Amino acid sequence: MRCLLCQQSFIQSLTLADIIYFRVLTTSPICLNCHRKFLQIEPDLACSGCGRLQTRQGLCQDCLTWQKKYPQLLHNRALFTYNDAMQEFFKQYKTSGDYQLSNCFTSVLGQFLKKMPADDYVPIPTDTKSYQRRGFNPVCGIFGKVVPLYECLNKRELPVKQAHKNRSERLATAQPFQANMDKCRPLAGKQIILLDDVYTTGRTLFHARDCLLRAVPSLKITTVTLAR
Amino acid sequence: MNCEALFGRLEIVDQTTSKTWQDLFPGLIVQPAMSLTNTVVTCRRCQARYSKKSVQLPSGTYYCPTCLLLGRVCSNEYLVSLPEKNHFTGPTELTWRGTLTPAQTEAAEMIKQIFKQHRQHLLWAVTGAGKTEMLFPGLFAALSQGKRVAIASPRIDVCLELLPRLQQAFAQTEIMLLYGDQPEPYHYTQFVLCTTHQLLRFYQAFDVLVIDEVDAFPFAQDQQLHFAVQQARKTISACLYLTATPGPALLQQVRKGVLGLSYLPRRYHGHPLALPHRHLALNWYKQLRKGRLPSVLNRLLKDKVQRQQSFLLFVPKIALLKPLAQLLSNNFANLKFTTVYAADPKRAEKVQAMRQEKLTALLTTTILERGVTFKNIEVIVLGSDDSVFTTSALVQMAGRVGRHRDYPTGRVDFICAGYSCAMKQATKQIKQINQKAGF
Ligand SMILES: [Zn+2]
Ligand SMILES: [Zn+2]
Ligand SMILES: [Zn+2]
Repeated sequence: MRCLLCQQSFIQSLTLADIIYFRVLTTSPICLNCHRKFLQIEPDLACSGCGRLQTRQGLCQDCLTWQKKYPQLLHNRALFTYNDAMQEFFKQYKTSGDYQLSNCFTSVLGQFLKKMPADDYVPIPTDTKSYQRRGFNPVCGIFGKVVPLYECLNKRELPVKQAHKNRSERLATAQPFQANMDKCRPLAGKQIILLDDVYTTGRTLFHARDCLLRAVPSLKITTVTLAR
Repeated sequence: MNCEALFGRLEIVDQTTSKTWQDLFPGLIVQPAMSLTNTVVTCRRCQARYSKKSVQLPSGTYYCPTCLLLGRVCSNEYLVSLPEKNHFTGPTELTWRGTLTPAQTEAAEMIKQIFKQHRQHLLWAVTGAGKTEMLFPGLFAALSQGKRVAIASPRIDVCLELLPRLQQAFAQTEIMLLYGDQPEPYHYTQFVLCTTHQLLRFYQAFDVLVIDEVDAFPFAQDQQLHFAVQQARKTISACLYLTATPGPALLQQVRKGVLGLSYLPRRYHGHPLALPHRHLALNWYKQLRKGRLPSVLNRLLKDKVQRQQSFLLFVPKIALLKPLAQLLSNNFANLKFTTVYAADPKRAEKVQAMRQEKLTALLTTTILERGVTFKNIEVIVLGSDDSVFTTSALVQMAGRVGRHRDYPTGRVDFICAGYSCAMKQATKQIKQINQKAGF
């Protein structure tokens, strides 16, 4: 088998239990060497607001700041720390547009989300222009093979790309999302998980939550990202 | 976009842009970026074939993962280029002040003829023959006639090492360096220095194409290299392959008569290549795992330390570097050394420190096998029978020794748990080339 990230061929290491229980289906398409470069976040050591890895309990500095504006924080859960390896992954996946990489974390995400049941999973959308340029929505790519997605948000085109803005500019950005009312109505009273690829400042997810809550005030929303 | 940037260069554009450019640039060559059959898509830029299902995007189009690093090719896009017009005023002077030995002069004249007569040729030149300098007269002649020239190598290290030497020799000519992650955008130059991968972005551009260290190319990808070379050179053009250890694919082309062959068996200082000493050490790995220096290695190291000889110690796996470094510092407290591997962020600094003789030894994986030269160096390969050490890698590692005219000799030692085919081949090749040189 060829590793999706480094192109080296590798042998799936199976434990005896894997063989007995036919657990081959959950094997990873990336090699152990590449896998080790990603830093999985221990849930007990994560900030209860944004899900980042930290050494102390409770909320991190960023979340304390957010709390002044949003008393109700996101309770985001992230699977990995956004380190060099993750940055490199997103560069190849999103910037270069290597859609095959959307399979990299399917099995780990599957195990991760199994512990977080929800009625529906709502991905953060991309705007039409990015979708046409890239040919895919990166969030749907990553999560679409893991859980059924419920797409009920639209995104307006933004004049400046997010990546080119600095932190304060990003924080000040106006609401980019619109709720698709027809799709939102059936969600009343449900528990949903909002999905995004990276939690950077939290701005995007707060906007998306605001937008959904305005459309369906009875929604219960938590969030999950691949990286923080 | 100015038209010069499209001379001999392939760009990927969408349908609208391709229409606009067709009006803007008469003579624009346009082709669909991918060709489709019922089940298979083929990338027109790199020839990679995929089943449609495996490379389809949710939007419906297909893309090519193989040449993605050169910018993504999609099935709804077009590859466009303009015919090479050779809009150059070549240099008037070769600004190289060195001299060639009589043997080098002879080879340089031959290379000049190959370029002039648009031939395809393989030059089997021993490591340390001084082949770069031998290219200068031929390259200068080609450039001054307004020909477009490229030197390509599979390894970026080799390109980076070549660039300053070429800039010095051709001070009047701008040289564009092209590789994967480079910051500088492409522009039109007469002289291009690039990794072989980058050749896929050219279309019938070069009158003279030199492929340096062609053996560094993984054998499995020979087909790809061949395609890239054919794509990038003009229909009537010269193509010169340089290597110290030709692989089977090139030799086969020689046998078929497609490729001319000549040898350059002598190093510029006239000394033969160092023949590796082989040491069978069945338990070297076990000893290392038990926290002991393998006895052969210990003996060799003691000798080096005593002679204050600087050396490279190659190992087959990155994982071996750390335990070995620990043992070395325990056993040889005064030895100044460090470890270095391919993805090492401090790689360049460490190599530089070694060059400046601030260090006596480097523990390394195969990365330093070629391109990099040290003035006075000896070589030990631990686990030389490991499958990562191919024939060409072994020949190249041994070839690090004796490069400088002040230190033309030195020891090469292979420590192994058995004799691999590659080791036998490497020794055979070294003997063969020494024999050809009359030793
Ligand atoms: Zn890998
Ligand atoms: Zn936090
Ligand atoms: Zn391709």
